Amino acid sequence: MSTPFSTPFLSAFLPDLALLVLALVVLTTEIVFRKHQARWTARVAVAGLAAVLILLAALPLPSGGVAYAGYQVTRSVVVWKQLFALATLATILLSRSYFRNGHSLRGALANPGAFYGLLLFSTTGMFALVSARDLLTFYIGLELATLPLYALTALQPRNAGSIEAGSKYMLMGAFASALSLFGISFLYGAAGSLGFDALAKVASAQPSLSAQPFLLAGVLMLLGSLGFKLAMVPFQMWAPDVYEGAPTAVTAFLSTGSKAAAVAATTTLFLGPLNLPRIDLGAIFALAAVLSLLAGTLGAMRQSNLRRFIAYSSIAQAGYMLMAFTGGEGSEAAARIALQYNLLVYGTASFALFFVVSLVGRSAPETIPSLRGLSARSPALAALLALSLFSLIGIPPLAGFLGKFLLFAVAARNGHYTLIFIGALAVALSFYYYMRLLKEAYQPVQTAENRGAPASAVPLSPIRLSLAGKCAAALLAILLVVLGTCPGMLNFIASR
Amino acid sequence: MTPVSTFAYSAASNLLTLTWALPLASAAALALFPRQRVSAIRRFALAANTLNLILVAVLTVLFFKSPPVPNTSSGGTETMLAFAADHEWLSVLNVHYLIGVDAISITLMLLAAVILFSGTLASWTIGAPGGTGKVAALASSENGAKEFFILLQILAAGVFGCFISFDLFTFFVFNELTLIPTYLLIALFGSGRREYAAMKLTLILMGGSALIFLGIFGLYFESGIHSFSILELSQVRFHPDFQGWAFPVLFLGFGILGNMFPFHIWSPDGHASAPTAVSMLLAGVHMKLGAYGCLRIAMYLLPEGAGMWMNVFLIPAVVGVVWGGFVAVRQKDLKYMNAYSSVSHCGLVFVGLATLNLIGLRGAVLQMLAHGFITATVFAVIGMIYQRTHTRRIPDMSGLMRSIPFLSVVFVIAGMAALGLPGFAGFAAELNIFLGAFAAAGTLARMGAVLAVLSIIVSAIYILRAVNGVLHGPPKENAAVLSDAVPVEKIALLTLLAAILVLGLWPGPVVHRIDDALMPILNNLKR
Repeated sequence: MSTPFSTPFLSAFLPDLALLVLALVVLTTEIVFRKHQARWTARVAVAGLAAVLILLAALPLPSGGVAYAGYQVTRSVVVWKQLFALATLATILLSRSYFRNGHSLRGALANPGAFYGLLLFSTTGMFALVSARDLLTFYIGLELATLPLYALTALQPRNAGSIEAGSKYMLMGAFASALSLFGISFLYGAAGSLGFDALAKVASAQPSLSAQPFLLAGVLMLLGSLGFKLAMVPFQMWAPDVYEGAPTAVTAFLSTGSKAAAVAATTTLFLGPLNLPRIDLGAIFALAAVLSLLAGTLGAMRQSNLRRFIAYSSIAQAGYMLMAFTGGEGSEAAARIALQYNLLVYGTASFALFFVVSLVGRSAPETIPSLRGLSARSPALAALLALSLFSLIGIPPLAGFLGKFLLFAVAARNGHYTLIFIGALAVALSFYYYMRLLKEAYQPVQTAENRGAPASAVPLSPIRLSLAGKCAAALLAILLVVLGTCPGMLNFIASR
Repeated sequence: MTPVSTFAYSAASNLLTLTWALPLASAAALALFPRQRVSAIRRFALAANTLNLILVAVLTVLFFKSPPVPNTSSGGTETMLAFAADHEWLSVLNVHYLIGVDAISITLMLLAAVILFSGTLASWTIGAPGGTGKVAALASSENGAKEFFILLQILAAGVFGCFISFDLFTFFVFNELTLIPTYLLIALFGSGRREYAAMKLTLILMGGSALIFLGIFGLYFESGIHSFSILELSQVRFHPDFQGWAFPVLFLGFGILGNMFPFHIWSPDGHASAPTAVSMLLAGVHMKLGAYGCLRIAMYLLPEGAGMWMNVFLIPAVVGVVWGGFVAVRQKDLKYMNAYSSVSHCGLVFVGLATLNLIGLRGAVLQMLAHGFITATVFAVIGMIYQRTHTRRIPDMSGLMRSIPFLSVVFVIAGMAALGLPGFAGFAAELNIFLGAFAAAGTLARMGAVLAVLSIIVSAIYILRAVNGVLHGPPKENAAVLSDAVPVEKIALLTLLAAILVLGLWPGPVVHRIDDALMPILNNLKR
């Protein structure tokens, strides 16, 4: 416990405070900037987030971390925050073009101040979530991270799909939120305190399940509520609809930043105070992993809408990540490393995919057939798509392989060999559905020579990337390869 | 945990790294070529693969001149590596870049290098106007040569990487690296139902990979030493319960890759649809990775499991030998015929492995080499005939001996080699396998040996029938316009034939070193 306003205290909490201030500032930019609101708001947000990232990386932290009241910051928590900030940064960069007219068939976004402000508030919530040291902070963080997302999903008021997605998301989210509150009240009843330390003491002291049914009820309810955020079966129903209806940048954030927050929250609780040595939660996680893999795999095979496809793919990816929670006692560090590394590479591949989707979506509906002829329209973009998909499948030497390998290794620790086999089979099947995208991209363009084939509805003009777009594509491609071949980033995460 | 220190670091290990780095680097360099410059692209690919052949040949000569000191102490179970190196790669999982070769891997690498070299020559017409490479999937005005050779080089890099890896993680990475190029090469450049065949092949092989993946994790965690090193794991005695399930998992996983009945179903479609060079590389080398993994990983690391399960695996192996032969008789397409003949001949590899004695194992390794060279030759010559006749159906061809005598003679020689005629590589291999199977204890092995020997008759039927139907008889009306092999094709075929003859007439030195390399595995099996 450190005193407020000492140096370690400041270095631990400054990034969070800075982010909060940034969110408030961004909200006001609409008043300050009369012209080019979207551009300037994005610039302020990007600059601010870059500053937060620098603060996170530069400020020294004592090896044991810093704790104050219900809030704590350790080195591994800082890695989570860096992941969230990176996801937000990438989302902002991706979203910029959507404020201009003619960059999406769904119409341009309005209210940049609200959009970026909400995004940053959600990120602040995520920061609080991973820093929580008691259930109250945890709940506040969870809600602050989720509530802005409902609004963001519905931020295209002229688009019925967006409104529908927003209301669905909010209704289901309210249910999940109620579930977590209910669960927290049970846990409070069992432990007599909201603090994680007290909770851990009670949890590890219970000789068996039946001795403390309140604990079990609380744990299961919290698991359900986090499962909703994770898009874990059986709480995955909202994902395809919301992913389809939300603005593209928000979908990207849901499948990366928000998913990272859900994984971080699950890690904070279930590899933390609720890592019950005598209750085999691993079996529940293993079952959820298998079901999520199954639902994601089967669902992704049949989709033609790209966003629904991505939703199912992200359900399957959640299935892989759930495998990290089956390691049992002593696997906490390995699981944390595997999850953080995996989220980094999954996020990179996802943003590469969304980058391609956003460019294709300028002139065509965001469907798989719209990808047809991409290799002719822009070979570089098609190559980026290929790299991203191979990484999502987990083909070495791309980053996704190492990420999956680490996750499977955690499950193997505890002897979950059947789970590993199912996971590896899911990888094999994922080759089938991810290749559907690539096949379309490398399909020859329809010409007069292909008689009998239906004329393509897709305009086949070449896609030209701006300089920033080229830089982003190159950066993503390099990251996908380098993260998988050079262990530097993994070693960095492992050292935290 | 004992550090790997049983060998001295040798500078030649950098050359070993170069065997996969060179194809990969050449793939990267090819990406920079403008796609219209087809001639430059294939010349560059040929140069890279020739250089690699020279490199591997030099390494082989170095190896045979001063082989690693064999582990003569009775019961020695440590594999002695030449050109070894060990660098830590991922400290989190104790993954090392641990490389080296013994006689088995260096000879298989030579096989790969020779086939890659001849395969490059055999695909000389890829991308040329009127060539057989069906690049419809790439827009037809464009040229596929660039993509073809890039993918071929990546496939080659994966194969070489596998043979030098003595770390399971690295081995798996290189093995997976071959999947995507294989898929794309068949799906983009193949013939017939190429997309179906490519997807079927890849999905089944990935299913096999899933089993291998599972086995590797089991080895890592159950060993108690948290290591992926084959050298370290070979000194661990795994619990019999673990071996009881892990051995079939690993053996099956590699068996799927190695074309074991009844999991061979990916191979006939895949090989028949693939372009010539890819068929050669897949059937000749890539499949051998499966048998190699069975021997080096499943049997070496889990010997007690091998003892428990080998009689079970003998049955599908023998069935594959006999059944593959009979199905080959029924085929009208030359490539399908050779693909099913491969099922039969790869079955012999597994019969050899199942004997669990020195003669049988030696025969299995020799059969990997022999079948690699022979099947590559047959696929090459079939591809060349197809380029001229535009058909692979036996009933549609006749009297080719008069119009294209060189290719026809090579076809006959390769056919005779596939029959296992003395003087060719296949004979030495099959003889050892049959002797090993007779020597093995148990009625089952002997019955298997009898059945497997009888399969030679079946192979005589389909090979002689094909030779007779395609080469003899009255020439078809278009025979006059057919031209015989061009020098590039002659070099490709003669290189392969030379390898078959050398291995058949002078197997002594190779056998000697292979026996040395098999001793640690055998001692593990006996422990």
